[in-house]
Amino acid sequence: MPPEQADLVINLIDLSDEYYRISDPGGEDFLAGSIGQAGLISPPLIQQKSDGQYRIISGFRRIFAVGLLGWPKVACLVLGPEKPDLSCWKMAVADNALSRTLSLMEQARAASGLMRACGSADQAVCVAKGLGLSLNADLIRKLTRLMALPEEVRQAVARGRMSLNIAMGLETIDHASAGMLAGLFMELRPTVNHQQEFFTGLHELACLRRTAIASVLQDSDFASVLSDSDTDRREKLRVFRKTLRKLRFPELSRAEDLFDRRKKNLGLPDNMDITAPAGFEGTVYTLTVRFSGVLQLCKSAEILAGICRHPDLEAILRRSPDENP
Amino acid sequence: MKIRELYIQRDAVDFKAAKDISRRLSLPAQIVDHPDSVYHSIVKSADPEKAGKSVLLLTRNKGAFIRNCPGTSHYTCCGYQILHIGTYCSMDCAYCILQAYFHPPVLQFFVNHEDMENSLREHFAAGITGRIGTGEFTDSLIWESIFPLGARLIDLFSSQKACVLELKTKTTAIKHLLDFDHQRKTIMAWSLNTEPVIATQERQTASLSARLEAAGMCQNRGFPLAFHFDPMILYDNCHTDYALVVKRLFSRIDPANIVWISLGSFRFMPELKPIIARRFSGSKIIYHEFIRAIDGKMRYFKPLRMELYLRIIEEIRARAPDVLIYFCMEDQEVWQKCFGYTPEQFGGLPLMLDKRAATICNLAGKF
Repeated sequence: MPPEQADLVINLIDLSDEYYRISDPGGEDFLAGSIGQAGLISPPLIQQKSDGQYRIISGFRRIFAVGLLGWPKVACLVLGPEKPDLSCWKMAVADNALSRTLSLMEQARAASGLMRACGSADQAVCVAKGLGLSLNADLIRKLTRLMALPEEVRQAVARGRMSLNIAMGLETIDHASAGMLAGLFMELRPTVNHQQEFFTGLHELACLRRTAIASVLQDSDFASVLSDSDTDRREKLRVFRKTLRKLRFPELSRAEDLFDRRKKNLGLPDNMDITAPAGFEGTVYTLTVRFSGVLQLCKSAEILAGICRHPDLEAILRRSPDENP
Repeated sequence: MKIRELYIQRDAVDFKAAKDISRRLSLPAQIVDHPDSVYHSIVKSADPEKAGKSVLLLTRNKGAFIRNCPGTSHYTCCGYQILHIGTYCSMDCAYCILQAYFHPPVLQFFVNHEDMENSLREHFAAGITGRIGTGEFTDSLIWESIFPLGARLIDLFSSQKACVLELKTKTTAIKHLLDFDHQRKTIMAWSLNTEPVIATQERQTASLSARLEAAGMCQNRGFPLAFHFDPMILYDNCHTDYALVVKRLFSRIDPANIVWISLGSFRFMPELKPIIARRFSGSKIIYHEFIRAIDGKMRYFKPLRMELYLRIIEEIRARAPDVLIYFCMEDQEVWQKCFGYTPEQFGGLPLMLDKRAATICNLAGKF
């Protein structure tokens, strides 16, 4: 049966039922202003439930806006309770996808609903495509999985603070830890590479300590970084990374610090640098000398001759196993 | 070895070994034209690495039976040669590289033994001293319960003086081999590890006591012995535990009977990490301080592995000052700092090991 037009009393609509919701909330004030001026041009789609109440299929923001205007009734298109779930999802997706570009979370809600109603990602892809929503099967699966993650994670992904792939990795950890990690990403705004570094490092520390990431993040070293309100975000990010590395790789970090200290003692001029082999595994060190003329090169050679006799260079190259490199 | 499915490749059906194994396993054998159908059934499994341990494919080795050990660049290789008798292993060690090395991992046993024997005879005829082992792509003795290949190899090696065979295992499947006239041309070798590592990371392997007991039985029958502390794994108190293994080893074994002892620390291709994380969820071995080494493998930060090596070398030297200890895949710096010399000073590690084998196993081949 096609939907029937009706003026519904707003109080009969169960506003808490967001089963078919696709749209992100927000902007209702502006929408209320527009409806107040021009009227409700496009009626929301509503379905009567078996208990007599009504639920929204599409038009969540419109009905909320009408509520803000204080209208007792709203003109709707009403579907009967017998309308199949997939048909309702098709209408919800079509109404949203054809009117604007959906945000990632809106796509996730649509994908998750279609997956449920269709029973398979491949079927959902076909249905979505016909409704103007271009999603591949892999993305549909990922977005569906995203919907099962804690709200903090979904928010972090929606705001571009957490990559979808990192979010997928959080499925294997407890919700409290996933939520804390999302909060950390919201606060420090790490790049995608740094997100992976944080997740891997914290996860491995948690495995080593046989505890949860949430518990690792409560470690005093991390807590002191995060609670410092005087430090700006970039500095906090830098210190957090360094702290994580020290806890995850204590001996290697110690060796790096020792190398840096000794290198500093060498008093290299600005145009010279010495780099250690990666992980101190190989034995070949690299010396870089930047120069723009013969005079500067000769001067550098003189300085270098002095550095070659420096006890700290000897210590760097000796790499005694007792004291690390 | 618990085999649930037996496949025989069509061109291997008529080999005696295939017939013997089919009879012994009492399983309906499925004849396949191509191994792909076997591989597909394993790949589909939720845990392919586990599934591959109960599926046996009898096939022909169509390549070389004798191969050089796939050592990597920048690290010193022992120059051992592999006798390629089969692939994968029925035991289940967390750190096992074979889980990631074969795609997919499946038990394959090569049944064209006449070809294998011809390759060996040709190799022996060259008269060049060599060390040949079967324990690189599989455990040397897991197959003994379905086919007594070890016995045949001991017999073959006993009749020549150029090469020595090393049978490397974590099993105790040696009783049927004890009476063979080996002429000291077969080295019976065991991988050793600490009790906690064996208990938590080496599923379905023999206990340390059982391995040492089996080694003792071989010693009593005059077999030369070797031991491999590889992979050594870092964990709290590991230094004490490895020292204890050394102490137990020498309480049972006479150092004069040991051809060599190798040391190697846990290292792995990065692809192995997610496999261990998935299959051994309680295992912490992949979360230590690893660096990506020059050959692309993950290795413990060098001072940490040197510290462990120094400790175990000290323990071994205190009890067996003359035993040849060597590193499997370590660099010159580690050799120099742990032993005070590098193999190059003695003509290279392969020559050092060949000479040792010649002395202990009475070889008379050319170097």
